[in-house]
Amino acid sequence: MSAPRHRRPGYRLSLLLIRAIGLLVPRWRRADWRREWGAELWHYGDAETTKDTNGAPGAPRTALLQRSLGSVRHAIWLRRRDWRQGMFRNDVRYALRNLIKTPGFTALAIATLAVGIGTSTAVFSLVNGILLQPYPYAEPERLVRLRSVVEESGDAVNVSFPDFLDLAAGSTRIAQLAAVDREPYNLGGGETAAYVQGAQVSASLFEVLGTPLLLGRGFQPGEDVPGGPNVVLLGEALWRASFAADPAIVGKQVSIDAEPYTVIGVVPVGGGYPDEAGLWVPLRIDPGAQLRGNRWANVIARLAPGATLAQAQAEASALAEALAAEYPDTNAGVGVRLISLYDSRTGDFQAMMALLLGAVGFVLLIVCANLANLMLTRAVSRERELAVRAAMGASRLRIVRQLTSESALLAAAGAGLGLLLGTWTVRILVAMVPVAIPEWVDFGIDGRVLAFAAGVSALAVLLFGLAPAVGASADLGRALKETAAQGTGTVRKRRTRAALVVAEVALSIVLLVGAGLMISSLLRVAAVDPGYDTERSFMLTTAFADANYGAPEQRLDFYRQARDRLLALPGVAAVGGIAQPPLRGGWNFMDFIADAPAAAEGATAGAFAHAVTPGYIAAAGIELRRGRDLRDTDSAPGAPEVALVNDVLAERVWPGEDPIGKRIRFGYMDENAWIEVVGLVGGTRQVSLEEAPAPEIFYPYERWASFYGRVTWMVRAAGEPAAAMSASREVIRDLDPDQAVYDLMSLQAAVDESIWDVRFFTTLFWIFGAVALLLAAVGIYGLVAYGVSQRTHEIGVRMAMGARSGDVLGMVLRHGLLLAATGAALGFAGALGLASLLAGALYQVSPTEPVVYLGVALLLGLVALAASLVPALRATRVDPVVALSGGPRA
Amino acid sequence: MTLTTVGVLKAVAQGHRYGFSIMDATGLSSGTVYPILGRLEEGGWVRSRWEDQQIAHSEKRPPRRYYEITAAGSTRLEAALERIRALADPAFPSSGTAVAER
Repeated sequence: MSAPRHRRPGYRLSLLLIRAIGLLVPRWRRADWRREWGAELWHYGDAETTKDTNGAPGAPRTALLQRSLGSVRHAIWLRRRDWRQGMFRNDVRYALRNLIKTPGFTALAIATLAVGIGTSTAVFSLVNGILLQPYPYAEPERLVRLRSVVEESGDAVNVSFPDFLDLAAGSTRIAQLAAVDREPYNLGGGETAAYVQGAQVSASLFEVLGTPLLLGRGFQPGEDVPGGPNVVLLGEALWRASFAADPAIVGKQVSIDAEPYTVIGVVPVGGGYPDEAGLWVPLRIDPGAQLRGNRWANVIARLAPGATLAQAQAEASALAEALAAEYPDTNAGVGVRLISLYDSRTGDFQAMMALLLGAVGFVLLIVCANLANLMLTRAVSRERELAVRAAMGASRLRIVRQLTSESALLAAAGAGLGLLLGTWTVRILVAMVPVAIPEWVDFGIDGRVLAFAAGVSALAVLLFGLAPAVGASADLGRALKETAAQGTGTVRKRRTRAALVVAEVALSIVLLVGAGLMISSLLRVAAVDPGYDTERSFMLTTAFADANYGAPEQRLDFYRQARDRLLALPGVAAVGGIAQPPLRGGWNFMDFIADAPAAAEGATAGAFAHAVTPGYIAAAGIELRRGRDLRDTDSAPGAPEVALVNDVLAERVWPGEDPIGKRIRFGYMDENAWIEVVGLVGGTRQVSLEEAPAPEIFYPYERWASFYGRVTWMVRAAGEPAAAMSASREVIRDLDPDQAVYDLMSLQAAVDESIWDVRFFTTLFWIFGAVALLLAAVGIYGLVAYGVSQRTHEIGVRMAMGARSGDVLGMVLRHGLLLAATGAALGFAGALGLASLLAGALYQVSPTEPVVYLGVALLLGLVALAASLVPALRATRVDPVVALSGGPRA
Repeated sequence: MTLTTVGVLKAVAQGHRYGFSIMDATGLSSGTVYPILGRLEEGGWVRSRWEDQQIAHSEKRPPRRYYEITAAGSTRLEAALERIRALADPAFPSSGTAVAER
């Protein structure tokens, strides 16, 4: 300071104080600070002098000293502010530098974390999309589905219309009900004819759902009666796709099943019910003409304000009992069950999603264990560096912060990469789902998914970052005393790392066993013979519009013309028709009575009743074992009634006998009317691959044509079916441009679709298993490799003493395999305990299937061997001379 | 902006240019005034300069650091003073209910 000497007493002391206090000020502002305070104090003393009227010598010494001491607060403030601003920057900079210095470690840690966060985010997106997203209805928690329950079997079925009306009239806990019936429709005509899944619904449906319409109005009470107006509500997606989002659509006419309908409104995406419906028309039926035993209505209801599900259930059960008493013929033993809409929609997935979340939890634990191990290894190898820092005055908190910032940086990078990975995974997974996903279900990354990923990363930082950091900073003094070559860390730390690897192996064993069980289950399902020729047969369906095909003859005529044209296509070997195609969610299960000794006692049984045309058996590739197929003449007026049965039925009713010529009849037929069995066929799977073939009866479609509003042509190609498939659509279009074709698909595609969920969940488990195995392998490799690098000296001594490289190889391999074996023992014990959770999802596979456990053990053994082999081979190349002289490590 | 900060800013605006004179004008201690000046400077409401070395030298005294208000600081001060005046107005608050409820 170049200030002139001051004459005031105390000034020099003040300057000395400022110099001393200045040490508190951050170095880069210290000189300025001292200069400013020195100048102020100089002037303070001077100014006081000029004010001094009594001639006293300037500011009293005490005043000057007081002011000088006041600078302490300023200095401390500057220091603290600088500390706060600078430390974060420094921590991050230092952490970045350290991470870049060890690119292998950094890449491995980030990749591990990204895989963990990626898989868990992907699964969470699915859970979020399916289970957590709120339904787009008003107060969705008050919405329930109302179903009839056959008490004997516990099966929930739809509700008959008379029951629906009685329940609606008698219920006080339910505010409103609506009946829904899914129907396929032909929308438009000519070139634009399209198949649209729709529903005929009670006028009250949109009030029950509480959906505000996008355009126009909902149905009105007078519209769902016989002879009601032709009005239609369009779904938003259909309105956009087929009507170019015409804002003036309300009031316009559209053609539905060749009849003009007036559009009265547009339903927003997700606002309708059921999900897959693209349009809604009023349910215009005559309640008087409805049978109480005919249960077709899908009933959705809104609970009254304040009413609970239990109260409504109790009331509905009482009403069902009253109905059973009043109509014992149809309602005895039939109850009513209310299911929340949420459970009804997600019920199939809840258990699976819980399993998936559990599996993801395992993957995350493995990821954390792996990262903790990486960080521990790194912390141990950095003990000396940290100890030096501590000796230089870095506080323990400072060191923990430093290590934590490294973890945080890794976590941030891993989370970012993981989110990307998760998004891609979800996209791939969703592409695997062949069935229509409701439009309002969004598997994208929303706030909840982001929060989940952030939470997982934060947890990972805490778990894998902080614990090793605290451990590493605990005994730095000791670390300083150790030489670099001895710096293997304490026994406790070595054990911790080994325990982490053992835990990883154990967890991955559990996941691998789960994946193995799922895969063997899928293989068994996929290997099931559905009873059809899935390679060469394909099918296409059309729904008859009542306006043009009201009479059975019209339908049959259309069917036959199309059949003949399809048969004429090049490469087509056989064509036949069926009312409800296999594996597409439709079937007709009917009581039948057989003319057999067992049946004489009044025993009836159920069978799938397939309405088929001649040629269907050959077209579907079903094996005709005995007798003959149906013929056109079988359905001629006056011709005797005939049918084919499958081997399951024949074996059950006429065991050991030839069924040809035997007689059966359906439960509804007169006692004297019999159907003669003319053919025996192999069993097929109608509902799903998992369900074993049940008794089946194939009877002439022609006799029942008036009952079915649609027909499916089954076509069998002589070779590759692709060309015939695309030509078949044109055949129908040529014949009647107003008839839309849908579900044009190979039987193989139908089979694949029917097991998509098994395949889907199996794929997920498979991915988890693979990720877990990979991580466990990395863990084993890391630990063994580290052990070798730390024991170079010891290995050198052994080799100098005459150990052969085989001995060294064995020693290192034993280390790796021992880790794996310990983990495997724990893992298999855990897997045996947890596999029973999977039992419900397995097909013909026991949760304790020995093959799976053996396979997993073998796989793990190989992977552990491979993971230990690399460091083991490296150990054999240790040169004793170099190792003993403290040279480069293995 | 706290009342203390407004006080310091106003003192600077009124021409109290040095740390100690601001302390004297506001009656605040150095431990309060300097951190406030530091924050005001960071916020751009105030700027500081060093006196011309030569002038100080010719007057045989050390050069001082002086503070002056910026245009933004002046606007900010006006707004703050306006609020304080409104608070001091016996008619405040105009609607009354909000305060009464508290």
